[in-house]
Amino acid sequence: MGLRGTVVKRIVQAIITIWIALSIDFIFFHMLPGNPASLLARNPNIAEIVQERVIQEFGLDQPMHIQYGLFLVNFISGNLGVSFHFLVPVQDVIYSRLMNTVLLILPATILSIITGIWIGKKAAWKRGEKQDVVGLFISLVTYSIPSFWLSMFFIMIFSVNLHLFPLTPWNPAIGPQDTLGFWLNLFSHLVLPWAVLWIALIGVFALIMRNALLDVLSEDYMVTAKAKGRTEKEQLDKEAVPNAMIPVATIIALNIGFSVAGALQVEVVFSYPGIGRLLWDGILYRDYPLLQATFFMITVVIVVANLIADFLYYALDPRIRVGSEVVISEVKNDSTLRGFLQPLRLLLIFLIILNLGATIAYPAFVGLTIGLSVLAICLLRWKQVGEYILTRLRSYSPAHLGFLWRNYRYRLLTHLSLLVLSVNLMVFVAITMSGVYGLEWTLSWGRSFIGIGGFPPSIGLEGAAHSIMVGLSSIAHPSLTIAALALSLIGAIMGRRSKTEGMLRQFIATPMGKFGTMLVAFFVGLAIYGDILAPYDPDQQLTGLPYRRPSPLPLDQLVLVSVGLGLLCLGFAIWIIAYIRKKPNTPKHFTKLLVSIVIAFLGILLGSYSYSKNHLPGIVTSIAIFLVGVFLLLKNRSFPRDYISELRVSYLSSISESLVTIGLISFMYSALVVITGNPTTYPGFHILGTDQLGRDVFSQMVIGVRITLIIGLVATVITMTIGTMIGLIAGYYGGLSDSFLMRFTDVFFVIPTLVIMIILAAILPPSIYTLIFVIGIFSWPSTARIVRGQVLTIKERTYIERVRSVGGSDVYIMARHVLPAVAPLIVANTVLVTAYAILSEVVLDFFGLGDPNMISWGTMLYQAFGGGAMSSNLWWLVFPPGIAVIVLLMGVSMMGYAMDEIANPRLRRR
Amino acid sequence: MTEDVLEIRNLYISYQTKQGKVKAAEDVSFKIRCGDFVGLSGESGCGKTTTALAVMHLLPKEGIVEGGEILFNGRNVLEYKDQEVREYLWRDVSMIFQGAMNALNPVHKVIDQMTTAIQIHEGVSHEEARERSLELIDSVGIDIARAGGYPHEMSGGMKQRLMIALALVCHPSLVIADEPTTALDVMVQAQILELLKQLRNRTNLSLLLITHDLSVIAETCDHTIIMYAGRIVEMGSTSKIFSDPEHPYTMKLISSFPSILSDKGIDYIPGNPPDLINPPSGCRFHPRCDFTINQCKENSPPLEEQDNHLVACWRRSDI
Repeated sequence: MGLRGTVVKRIVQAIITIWIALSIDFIFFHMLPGNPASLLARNPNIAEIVQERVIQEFGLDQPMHIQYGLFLVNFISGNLGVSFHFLVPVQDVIYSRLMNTVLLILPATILSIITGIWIGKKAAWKRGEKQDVVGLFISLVTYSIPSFWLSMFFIMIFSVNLHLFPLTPWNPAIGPQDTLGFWLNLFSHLVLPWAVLWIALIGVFALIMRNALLDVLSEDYMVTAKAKGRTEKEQLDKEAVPNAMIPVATIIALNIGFSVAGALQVEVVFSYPGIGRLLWDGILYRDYPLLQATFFMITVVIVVANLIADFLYYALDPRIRVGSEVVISEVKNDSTLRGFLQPLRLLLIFLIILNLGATIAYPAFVGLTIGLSVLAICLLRWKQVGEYILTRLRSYSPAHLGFLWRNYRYRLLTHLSLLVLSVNLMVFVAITMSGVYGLEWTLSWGRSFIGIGGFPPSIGLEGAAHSIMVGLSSIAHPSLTIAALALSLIGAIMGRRSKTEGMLRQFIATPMGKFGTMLVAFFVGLAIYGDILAPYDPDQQLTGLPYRRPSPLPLDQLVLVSVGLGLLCLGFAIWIIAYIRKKPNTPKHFTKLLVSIVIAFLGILLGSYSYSKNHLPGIVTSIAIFLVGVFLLLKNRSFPRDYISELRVSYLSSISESLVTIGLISFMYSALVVITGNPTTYPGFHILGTDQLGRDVFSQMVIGVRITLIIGLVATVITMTIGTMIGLIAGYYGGLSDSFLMRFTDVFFVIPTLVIMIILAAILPPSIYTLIFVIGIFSWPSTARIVRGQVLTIKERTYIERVRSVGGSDVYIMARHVLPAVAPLIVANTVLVTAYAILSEVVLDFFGLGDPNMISWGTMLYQAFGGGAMSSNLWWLVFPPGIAVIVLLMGVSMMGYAMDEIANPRLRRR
Repeated sequence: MTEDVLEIRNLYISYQTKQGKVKAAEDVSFKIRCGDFVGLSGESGCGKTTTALAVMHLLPKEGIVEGGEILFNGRNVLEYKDQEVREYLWRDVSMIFQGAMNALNPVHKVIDQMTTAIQIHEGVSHEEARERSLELIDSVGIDIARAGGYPHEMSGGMKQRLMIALALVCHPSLVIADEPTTALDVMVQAQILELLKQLRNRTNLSLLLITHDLSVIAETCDHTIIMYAGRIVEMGSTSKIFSDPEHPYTMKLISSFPSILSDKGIDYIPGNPPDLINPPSGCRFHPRCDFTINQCKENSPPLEEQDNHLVACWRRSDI
């Protein structure tokens, strides 16, 4: 394919992307309650004549398809509607704002690309050494900081406290109007936003560069370069970097949406008159035409930027790899078409269309129609379906179960729990689909599944109907689902113990994995023990005066805490001295012993507290922690022979480690006493102060972690399911489905997902489900790409050919051979997606789109921002939630990166 | 000319792995005289490539030279400082890599990769370097019009020939060729072998040819070294080794090679290559050898010379 062809192809793709974005735009705003015409009519601020004109131009009184056509024509010709809030055509507002945003984004992004690439280069070249650790740390920290929080932080430090930069937002109408003065004024307002955006973007670019370079460094031509006698610097700059830049250029282009997302947050906090601020206003005033137009403009900008980057790519790569990828779809011939038009397929298509029609016409019966269609298909193919069910059931024959019991006990566990799970889920799906108990039942199931709220709901049924419902509900009970899932997982893991253990050991052996797991475990602990740790009810107002600073610790508690901390620090100091003096290390056995003692103690401590407060989940978790500690203790019960002498040799580090242990134990104990004892023993004491309503900040922090974790995890599950399915199907089947799915993925890659999320969350009613849904369905493109890439290489392996020649079906091959091979990569990606989901959740909360009834870190920051915490220097409202978000995200992404290093074949050390 | 270009004395190399220390080369000693072509063979993982990489200072981080000397024109290469190493590489010793497909940088033009190699080592002008590269490209039988192309525009055989040209570009006294013909089809293999033969006839170059394909060695080399499990087991002139091998391993190796003409049965060596973390005691080959006696299990046989032919076997005279 010539260059000309590729250029044309790219442009066509860009146009398609914009078209899809426009369609999404159209669909979203027609999902609103009421139709656009009535929305317009209800707005008292818009003059009749203008209303008439808008209705005329957009054909709002016409049928849907004409509306759609007019919408496309209008938007493409630059007529973007009339803003509800500004009462002028949207295009008049948008263009100047767009320029301002470009002025903000461009320098900051370029600077951070340069810095990021530099850091990535340094880190990759010295992989595993100090430089790499520092580089990775910087990348992960900057990646984890939400830009809006960093903006708040910078304003408080540099503008409020140090008075270095103006606190008032930039307004082109105010201030000096002569050229020099104007620009100086602008510049003084832009320094901080630039700095924030620069820092916030470094991490992404550094990580991209590091991974690309690691891939290149293991290539053969790098050995040639070294053998040629090139210096290290030349090897890196002249041989490796030009190669690494090829993928980096595209990935950076695809990540332009990331800079836009950062810029939106920065603009909001700095009140910078850019397009992000406009978006914020649009959400605030529910100004739908404005939102619609903003989304459109942002997409256009990103698509154009991408197009430019794409052409840069051709300048960089002599091989023009991309061209060859596209030919795939041309191989189709009519025999596949004939295969496609099998009677059954036709019926299927007919049913799908029928269902779609039925859904639109009678949305209440959607479950029923789909269920009936599925039933119809099953009846039509009863032979195959029956056979399938029989083969499935055959493995539950007594003989087979006996065999499993004798040989693979853990697999038996998986087997049985899967049976329970399938019955449970079938009943659930059947009830949901039939709709006999209404939406409330399903929602309550979902709430109970993610751990908030009870099940079954009281729907006002009586007598036999009630007992039938309770009976059915107990078969489809969410806790049964959770238990079956957990048991089958345990069975699967224990069944392949040696393999999992190997990976786990590798994972824990990396400092990143160890540290990340510890951080995440801390927050999970907070979520579980939240109820007993939070001294006040987080929603209770006026637990003290509003805006109270964090109180100093009472003297006796100070003594208690400082004893533990002192011992801890002393231990660490001695350990460091021993390390520097190169004294012999403590025997590993001893360290393990101490660790298990700490874990067991933690279990006892938390258990006794949970018991005294009658907190069941806390008790269960504590027992589990205690058992882990005891298990480790028992595992290390036998002492090696020359143990005492070894201990004597390494006395310094042994003493230090013992001190650390004692310090840790006493610190944990005293901290718990301080935290939980407060409201009763020391009324009016607030360890982190109070907010504008006199609520206790610390309690809000502790409870807030739950929402963040729940949304993060559930959204991740949705994302991973969609991403894995799409990646698997695209990669495995190739051809037409691949081209189609990947184009689709590319579109979602390019469209600024955060903007979609913000807009969609603004349109839908604010609730935790909205957040989960919105984050879940828009985060999958990267997963789909990664999975597809890996499937493409696996599918070529000979063993897949072997299974196919034996007669394995596609589904069988995918489930049994391809998926397990991709699994490690999926696991690693899951963790990284979780980090992204959590970050999105915090940002959406900050935009005021969170559940108003639930406290989360993002909402806390939203309220702090709205309450003017920055200008009044109320640091205790801003710092704690932000730092908590950063630490949690760091923990999660560290885990993800540690797993990625093990699982990703491209990163594996050679 | 009977000077030794390269002399390796009692080289010990091991790889540090999680499972333990892998003894990749033990007590390896041999000489390459100026103008000689020496073949180094043995099964996979016997230390051929490790030895070559040590000569090139290219051992991976885990590889440690535990003892011995590598003398290049009388100077110990292992004691070179970084700067000296860089000067020595490619100017004195160059290497043709295994799988040349990937040994050329895909983003640079072929001709540029050659000229930079010259310019790194010699203070010549760009034009002169270019001139010399073009001459070499021509001499390996590639149309000089293709020189401005990128590696991906060349076929596998062309890439391999270009790699040879690249190795010769600084006029080194020794070239190490690591599996130069593996993964090439037979016709291309023949071309490459022909090229190597021409080199031997026309220049004063020494070549260390590493391959597990004995026929390649038989075709091109003056001397042959056979390694097994990190040790040299037999060393001597190629004709002698192929006509009258004395070490049981060499015998097996040669007889396990299929012949297209005769319909002799193909022999094979029972068992697996030894685990180099815990190598077998005594002679490394004894668990798989047909002639094992007790002494083989206890003591490692020394490499003994007899009529310029070195063999490490206790039962050399018996077999």
